[in-house]
Amino acid sequence: MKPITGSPVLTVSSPSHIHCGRTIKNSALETIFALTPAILFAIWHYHMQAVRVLALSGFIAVITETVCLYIMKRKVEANNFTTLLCGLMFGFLIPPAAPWWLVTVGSAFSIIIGRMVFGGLGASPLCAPLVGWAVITVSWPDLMNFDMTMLASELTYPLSQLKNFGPEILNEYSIKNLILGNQLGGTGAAQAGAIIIGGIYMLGRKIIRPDIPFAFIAGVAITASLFHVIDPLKYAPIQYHLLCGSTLFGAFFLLTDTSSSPVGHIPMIAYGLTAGIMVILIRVYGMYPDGVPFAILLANLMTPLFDKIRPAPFGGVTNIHLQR
Amino acid sequence: MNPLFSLTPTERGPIVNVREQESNIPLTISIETTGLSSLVEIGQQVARGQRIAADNYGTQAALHSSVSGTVLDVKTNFILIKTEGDRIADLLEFSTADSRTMLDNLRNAGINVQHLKQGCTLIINAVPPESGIDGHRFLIEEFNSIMIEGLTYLKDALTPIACTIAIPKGMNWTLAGCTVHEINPVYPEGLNAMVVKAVTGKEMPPEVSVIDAATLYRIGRTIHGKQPVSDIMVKVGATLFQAPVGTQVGLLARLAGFTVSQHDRVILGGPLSGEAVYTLRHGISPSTQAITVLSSGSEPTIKDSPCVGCGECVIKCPARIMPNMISRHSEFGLFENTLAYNIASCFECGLCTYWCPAQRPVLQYIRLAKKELSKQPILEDLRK
Repeated sequence: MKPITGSPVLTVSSPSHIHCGRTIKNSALETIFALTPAILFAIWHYHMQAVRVLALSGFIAVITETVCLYIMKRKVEANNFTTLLCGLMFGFLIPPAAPWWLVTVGSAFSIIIGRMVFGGLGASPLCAPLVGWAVITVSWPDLMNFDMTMLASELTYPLSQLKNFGPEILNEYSIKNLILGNQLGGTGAAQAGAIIIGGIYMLGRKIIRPDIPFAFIAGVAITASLFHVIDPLKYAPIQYHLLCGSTLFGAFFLLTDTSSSPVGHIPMIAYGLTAGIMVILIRVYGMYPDGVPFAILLANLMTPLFDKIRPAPFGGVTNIHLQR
Repeated sequence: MNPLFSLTPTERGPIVNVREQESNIPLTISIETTGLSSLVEIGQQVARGQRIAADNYGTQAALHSSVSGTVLDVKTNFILIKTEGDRIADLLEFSTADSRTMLDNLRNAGINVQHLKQGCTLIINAVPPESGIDGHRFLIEEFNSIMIEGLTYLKDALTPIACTIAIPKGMNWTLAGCTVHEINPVYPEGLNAMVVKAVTGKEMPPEVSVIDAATLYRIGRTIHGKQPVSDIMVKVGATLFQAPVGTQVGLLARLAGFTVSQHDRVILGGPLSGEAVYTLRHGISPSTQAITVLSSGSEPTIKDSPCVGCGECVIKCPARIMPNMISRHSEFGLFENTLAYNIASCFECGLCTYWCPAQRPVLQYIRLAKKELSKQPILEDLRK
């Protein structure tokens, strides 16, 4: 359409008229890319079982969100890949031999209760994959117990060994084996070395800020070493707390979930430290061998409090009429 | 560092004079008169420097025709004038009686004096507001005496307690009668609020008046020639133009070598804080310093998507406020709530919108809330 004046139709926009180029979609794609090493390691260890769990949980997540959006009469937004990412992260947390219906229920609950009831993308106060994880862990504790579900595997779950037999048993696990993922645990979360590679990629590409992961790892390390120094015979050394369970996966991928984490440097560090300390407290005193998911959920609940830590605003002007 | 945020002035190139370039065809200028009432009618002959629009309430600056010509059209917000003849308006009078009259004279000559206060610290902001908007480099280096003339008049009118010129680091610009303060040349350090903080050490102090170097030159030129300034310096792309006020942006874009096609954006000012125009026939205002032409990309820069709470805007915000929460409340019309997130501290640098991965129009939401809040009556005691 040509206007009468002879001027081309110009686009009118509000400032800023330019953009840095980073979008939700490409952040989600980069995060999925960062998860790829762990997916490959999981397939190496568990073959088709891993493929089955990850593909099913990702598929169910996208389908569930699409149905929810359809019922809510909103535009389908599966093309920003955040739901697929959410489904994959849920699949990372559950045992590779989990029955299909458990994966389906958990993945659907992650999306419905973790995300859609709050209004969809960006509105969730909790890390969505952990909500589904918590629902099925509490409802079917036997099926979520790695040792029971994975009887066919030669590998063992170091954290439940630690809980049942004390720290000496951990000497069976060499650091190299733990890094290569020769341990039971969540399908992808147990691939410690691959998760580190993914985490470094995310930090390097500036998808996540270093504040939260480093504060979390520091929180875990400091608390674990305190316990270890007090009684080395009763409490495990730091390296096992860092490399077993989903500590690293939590640090780089779950804790940094945008909508459930605080904003600003000091709140981020306080949030990471709190979650890290809580992990060790749950592992030492709690009934669950891996404290990471519950520690992160508890830290998520404290996010609004951390967000209250704010620097003084520029100039301290409190009324719009006084602005000069 | 991102070259987009570098405020170091570029090398001076040649200046293109629009009047000389277009001397064979009559120029049509369009002057935006939003908020002012027109003093001319269609068909009336106006002289160069004649007052064509003024504010009835006596706050905004008056507008003058920058050419001698015939009024083609008077719209609600625009006056179109076609060049014709060579008439020049009568010279203006500048009294030196008292401060009030001196400022009123300036306002009638087309200078915005709303933010100038008596007995303040006067700061001349010579830092480019955005990358590449450095047309005033030429003015400071070549027309220093004119600027000093303007400064002398301002000093008489305001009797400031101190006078400082803020320049980007690495430049050797000086102005007689002013102390020099170097500013780190990185956006948003060149915005008035940040310059005031760098110079005085205080954030948004009340006793400071800021005026940019281009305006100071306009004051000097007005006092010197006893005529309203008709030609201004405009940077379009990498070319510096000397153009009459009201020159249409389409003409400047064409002379600078841009081909504006469908759905491109033409912006008065820089890409981070400028104002987009809707037609190429939009004229430049006396305070315009640059025109930016952005070609249309495949993806829009702004989308109607929810805030994902990543906190990029909070970390990048130089005013240390929470643009994420302000935009969330403003989006749903809860303007009162935005005061709790210190919306009044925002000085509209546009960085939140630039960095937002959800591509939300954060600054636009902040502006909307500010506008709605400023409409409300003042109920509380502001002196607290």
